[in-house]
Amino acid sequence: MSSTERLHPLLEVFTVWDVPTFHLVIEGVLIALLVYVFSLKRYRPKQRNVKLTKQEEEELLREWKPEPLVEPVKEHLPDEGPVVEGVAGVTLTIGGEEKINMGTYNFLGLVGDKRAEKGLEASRSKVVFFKHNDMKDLKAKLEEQAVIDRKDRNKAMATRRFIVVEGIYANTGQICPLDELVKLKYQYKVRLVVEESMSFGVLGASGKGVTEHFNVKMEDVDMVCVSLGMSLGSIGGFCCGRSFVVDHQRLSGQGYCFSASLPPLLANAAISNLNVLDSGEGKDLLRSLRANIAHVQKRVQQIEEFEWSGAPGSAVVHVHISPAAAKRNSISTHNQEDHVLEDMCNKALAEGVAFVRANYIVTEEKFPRRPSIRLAVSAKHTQEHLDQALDVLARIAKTTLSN
Amino acid sequence: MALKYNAMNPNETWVNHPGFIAMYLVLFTACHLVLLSLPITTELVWTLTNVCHSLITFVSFHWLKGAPFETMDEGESLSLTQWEQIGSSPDMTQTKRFLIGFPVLVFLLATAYTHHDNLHFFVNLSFLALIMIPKLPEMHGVRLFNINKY
Repeated sequence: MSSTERLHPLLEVFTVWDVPTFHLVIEGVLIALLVYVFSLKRYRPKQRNVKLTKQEEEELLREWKPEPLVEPVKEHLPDEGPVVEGVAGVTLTIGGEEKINMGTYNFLGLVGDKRAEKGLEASRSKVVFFKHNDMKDLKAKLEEQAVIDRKDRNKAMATRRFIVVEGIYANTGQICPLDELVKLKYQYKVRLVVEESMSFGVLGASGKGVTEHFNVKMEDVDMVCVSLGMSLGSIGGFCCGRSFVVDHQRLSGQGYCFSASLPPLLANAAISNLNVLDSGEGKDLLRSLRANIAHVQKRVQQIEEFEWSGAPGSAVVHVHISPAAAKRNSISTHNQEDHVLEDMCNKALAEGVAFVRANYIVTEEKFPRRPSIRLAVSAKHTQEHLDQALDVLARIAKTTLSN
Repeated sequence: MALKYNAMNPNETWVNHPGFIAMYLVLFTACHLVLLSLPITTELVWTLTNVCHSLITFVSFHWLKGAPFETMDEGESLSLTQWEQIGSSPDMTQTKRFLIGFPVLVFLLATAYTHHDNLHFFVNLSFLALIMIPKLPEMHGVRLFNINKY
């Protein structure tokens, strides 16, 4: 560096003599980049106050048209169909007359679905369906996933997997084999979510649901979701799990906690119903519920035009038209079957019993179920209620499906 | 204009605070002074300064993903790096200008102080590339060879 001797020591670093050309080219490009970046118009993110002139203000005010709070009614809806009045207890008031209620989920008699699937859709997860209550199919699907995971470990480490089942399936009345599910859960390291709306307050010696029914430890199930609208006769629901599951929910579910929380009155109603379930009265209710369920299931089996779906101890019983009866009466399509069942419900209503046809939005259903009449058994139904209801059902089945 | 202020993800806004550039410069100067106090040549000090600066900014702006606090965007920023979160809008803020310009300045100083030595130049250039390439708009959300994808 002979040329540096003539310069001031602080300036010597800026000499460009004896510099390889490609250094200069690269530095030239970088300086050009700097010039370009600094020539772009600067954007200031905090310009908050936009000053409008008087004229602009008035123009905005003139353009603004308030929207009506309620859309004007264009046509009158036809007021057909039975109208339920008052409280849906063991009996219902429909059109001013009292009927036996076989439709409301009111298992413990403490009142005066699609939910799980919609939740899965809303979670934006990749959902794999296994055959209904088929543990072999579930195991095969888990094995399939395990093979994929072994190929891409990084992805597998970042993916969370859940098995989602219902304790008692609302659409079939069957009970999930929880003991086998827990085994699969530990084998394939998957978390287990059980939707217990239909089983809480029904299954188990003290009504604690499907975990108690199978003598599975509560800790082995990662999350239990229960609607308070079924056995507990209130509104809302709860999710429970281990403390870290609860903590996670508290953290990520804040918006739901604060915007859609349960009104204190309804929460208190649910709590006092829980206390009833815990007391001696609850034991009596469960005993009578179990007797009622057994009675209904025994009677339903005797109606030969029907076949039923459900499980011992499940308060939801689905009644389908048996294939033989359908063939005799030339009922083949889903819609025909639906209409026949609807017709039967209407006839039963005239005779004083309210049955409910299981309603599905067929277009939204991934796996459409066979049309059925859904019986919901309650602990407060008396033997006479049930006998009357099932007598009516049997008689109507006989007359409607007489061919 | 008022609506452009994005409060959904505070990660996009705290870097626009004037204190950010001041903090950055203080940390840089502190790092450089520490290296200057070591018994090594000035050339090595400048190259090391550039390398440290590149590595630290690479980790904090182009490697770590997500936000340390809860965002209101339902986890959309969880898979984005800090630069991708602030660089998602095409507007040239003062902070972005600084984050692009300052590494170039450090590089030019380092090459000048190493008297355009070829080895030092290559090391400095490659560490500059490490933090300049992820800043290109074309690299938004791109994970080369699936590195750091999950």
